[in-house]
Amino acid sequence: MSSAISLRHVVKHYRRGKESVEVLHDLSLEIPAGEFVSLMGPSGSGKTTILNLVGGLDSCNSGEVIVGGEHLETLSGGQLTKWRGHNIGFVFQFYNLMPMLSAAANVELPLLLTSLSKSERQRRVAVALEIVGLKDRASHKPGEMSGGQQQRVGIARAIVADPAILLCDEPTGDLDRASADEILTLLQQLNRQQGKTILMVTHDPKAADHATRRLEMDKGQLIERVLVGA
Amino acid sequence: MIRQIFIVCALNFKSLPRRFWTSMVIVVGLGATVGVLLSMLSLTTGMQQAILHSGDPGRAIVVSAGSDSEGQSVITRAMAPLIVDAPGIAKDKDGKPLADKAATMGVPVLRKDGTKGYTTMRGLGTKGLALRPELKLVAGRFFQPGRREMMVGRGAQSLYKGMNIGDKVILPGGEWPIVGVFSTGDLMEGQLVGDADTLMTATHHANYNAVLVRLKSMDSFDTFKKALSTNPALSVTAQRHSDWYKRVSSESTIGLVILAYIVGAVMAIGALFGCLNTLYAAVSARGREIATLRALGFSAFPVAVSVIIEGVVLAVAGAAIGAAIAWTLYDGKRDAFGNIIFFLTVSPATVGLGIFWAMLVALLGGLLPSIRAARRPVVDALRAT
Amino acid sequence: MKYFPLVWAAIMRKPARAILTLLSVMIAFTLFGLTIGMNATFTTMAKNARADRVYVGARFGGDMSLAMAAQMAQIPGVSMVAYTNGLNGYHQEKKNKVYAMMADAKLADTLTEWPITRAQWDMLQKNRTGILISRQQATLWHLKPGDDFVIASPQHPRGDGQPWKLRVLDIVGDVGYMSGGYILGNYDYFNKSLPLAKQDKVDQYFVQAGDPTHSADLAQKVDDHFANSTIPTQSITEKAALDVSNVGIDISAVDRDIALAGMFMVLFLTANGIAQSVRERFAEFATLKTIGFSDNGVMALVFLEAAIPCLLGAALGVGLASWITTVLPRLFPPGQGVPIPMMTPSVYLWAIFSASAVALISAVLPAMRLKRMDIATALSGR
Repeated sequence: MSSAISLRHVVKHYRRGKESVEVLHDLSLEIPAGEFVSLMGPSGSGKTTILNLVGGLDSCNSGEVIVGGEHLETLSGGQLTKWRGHNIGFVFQFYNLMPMLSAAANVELPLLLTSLSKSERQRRVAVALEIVGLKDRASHKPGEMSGGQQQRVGIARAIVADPAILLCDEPTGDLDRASADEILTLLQQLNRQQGKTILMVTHDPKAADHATRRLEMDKGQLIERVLVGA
Repeated sequence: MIRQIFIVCALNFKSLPRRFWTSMVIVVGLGATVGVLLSMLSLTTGMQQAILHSGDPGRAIVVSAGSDSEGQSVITRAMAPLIVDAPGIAKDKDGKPLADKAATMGVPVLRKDGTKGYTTMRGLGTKGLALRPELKLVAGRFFQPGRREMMVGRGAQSLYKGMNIGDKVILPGGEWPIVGVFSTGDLMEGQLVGDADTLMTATHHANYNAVLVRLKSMDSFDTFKKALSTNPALSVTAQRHSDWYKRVSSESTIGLVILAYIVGAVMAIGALFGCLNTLYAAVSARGREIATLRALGFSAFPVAVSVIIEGVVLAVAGAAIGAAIAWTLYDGKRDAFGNIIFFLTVSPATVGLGIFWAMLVALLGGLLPSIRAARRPVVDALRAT
Repeated sequence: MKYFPLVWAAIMRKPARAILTLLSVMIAFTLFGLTIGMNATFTTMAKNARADRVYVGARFGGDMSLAMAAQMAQIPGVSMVAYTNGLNGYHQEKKNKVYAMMADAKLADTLTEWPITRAQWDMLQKNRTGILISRQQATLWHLKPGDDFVIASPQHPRGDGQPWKLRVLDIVGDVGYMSGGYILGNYDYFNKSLPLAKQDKVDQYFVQAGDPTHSADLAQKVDDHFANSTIPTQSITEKAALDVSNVGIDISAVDRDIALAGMFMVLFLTANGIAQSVRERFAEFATLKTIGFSDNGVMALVFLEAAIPCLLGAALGVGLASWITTVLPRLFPPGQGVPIPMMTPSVYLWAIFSASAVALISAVLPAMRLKRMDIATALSGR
């Protein structure tokens, strides 16, 4: 299996006032296509940074970031944006939906950037909503939905353009146990049935259970957690 | 209650810097509105002041019935003695009535900035100068009766070309040289004066335009007026000189005044909507602060009042700035409308009007937001992010 | 376009703010329309001014004599001379001022561009006591064809002492520079009915120049001819007469300044609104960027969010101004009208230009902030 995501000798530091804080020192990571990887670790350990690097939202100071065969460190801002629209789906902790748009309109957003016809866009939106189980909520606004339902809209939006990779930043962080489980099952389904590669940052140990591979960040180092009694 | 209002307002103004730019919307809106209003009114106020300043209530002017201006009026040589002999007129040291038969005509002139204008040439009779103690010689000499020569007023000299002593003005029958400059402290400073009979001969006019008299006393006007109106040989109207000018003033300026208020009102409405917007936003931004006060025991009324006061203070500040700009740009500038030379005036009265206007807008604009501030459930506001 | 729902949702996020902004913009553009429209009227009037017409009046006020007509016609370069004498009076009450131009027959041949048909001009000759009345005046006095219009005039009394009873023959169109409208009557009838001492007077001569390019010279020639006579003249070409900047107070500059003040007010309001809206929705814009919207795309969204209320407000405002011009004459006392503003295509173009400029300037700073935004920080800000 070829690697969907490759980080090689990545170094990333942030400027905090006059100080420079090194978050990632010489980090390397290979994620084959079709894997569902969970990434845990204390705050500030750099897990969100890894997510942002893979998603092209941030760039490293040195090293290589190769996603889907593309060397992200060589792309310009504009090229990264375009690439991102085709290849990545983001799922956020606080959903980041547009409050004034209906669920369907929210899901349609990534497709507005394509040249698909209106009817084609609407078809794909319906399919995405069907997958997440919200077909009958298409015309509802986020304010009319529960947290779990909003996150499902968020996932529908993330998959509507059929990207190969899903990046999830604490997707269950704001949900109660029941809703969290629903979301994680959904992600699992997307991984197993649609073959989507998923990299999920989380605090929740139960969330990590749903993944096929567990990683931990500790002081900038990646540690693999082997499944015990799978 | 008053104490509560003070405290809430003080708190409100402390948080105002955070809402600086939104608050500036009110200041700019009212500044523009009041600035435009006062600029337009500077024209009308200046004109009105110049005109009203010119009427002496101790004098009366007699014109033919139905005339709106001296130029339209015709007083024949037959009518004149009847008017001059009427009761109520003061007498001069020779015992003759202080009455002057005057002739006027319009004279086109060129302003110093090149635009066209016109002024009035006033022919004074024998008693013309005695009737006008305010007329003083500033330079040169008085015109001589019977000679084709004239004097110019200070205002005319400063505004028009070719008005210096020695210059010649084209009139019917030839050119008349300017021999002197006079001042009167009123409208006449924008005009030219000469001898009435000479003027009438040169223009081939047989008739006078008006008769100006000095009343024996302020109260003799009624006697004078009655004598003229009951005389079947005369069809004339008598008015106090001050009343005459009041009418002229309102007629000249009414169109512009209406226009100024229309423009001011329209802009005020625009500013009103801006005001509403800002104050709604302010209430929103202060949500938590207001809710906390309410929870602590402050009643709704001071909260509502604080919103309105915020609006009023900002609006008045804007109005003051607008007035200051209008004053700096326009006040004191000389201008002329027809033959009326005046100074653009941003008077204290108009500034007061502007501020009142602004307060009105703020009161209207603050009403709805203040109600919302008072009515918003405390619990919701505390929970809101 | 497909992005419209997104922009609309952004605008309507705070409906009260959107509506108030729209209303404020609309009001400012109403003022804009009225002032710039008035300037458009002046420009049109000056542009349409007849190059070959010279107005001749008495230099020092008062009336001219009929005898001057023959002399004027002899001046080389003059192709036609027509004249009017004015009837100055009032209708019923002294404050209802009326001014009627009692015209000689040749006026029909010189005022050919006025909206009066040959048949209508002929009516004046066939019915000597008749008048043609323009629409604005007809509305003012509530007159229709066939009505009698009684004018009392202390200044121009009839020889027999009666007031003037004139019959309305027809209603004709208004002319731009005749603010408040006009009334035309028959000179001959008017002249013969006056007392002897007031007969054969003229208050305005209309001289037509054979060569339009030299009408200014012709005006000077007329003045030179009468300079030493008993009634010196002051002549002016129509082009010069309609040049507004030449009159004392430069009204077109005043109009422009008022319009600018209104635009400044609107600019502030809009800029503030957009800045606030963008600030509130920073995370939303960040999300759009993660989805794949480009920097330019996001900036375009902000610009559209500013442009839609501005352009809509401009359209509504100028439309409202257009409606106001129909009631404008009623706001002023008779005889004190202002030129009616016209919403010409150029006015609309200026409105669109101004609205776009306001939107652009308002959107610039917030858009720049979005461009420079660090997506990662913006997203983590939640």
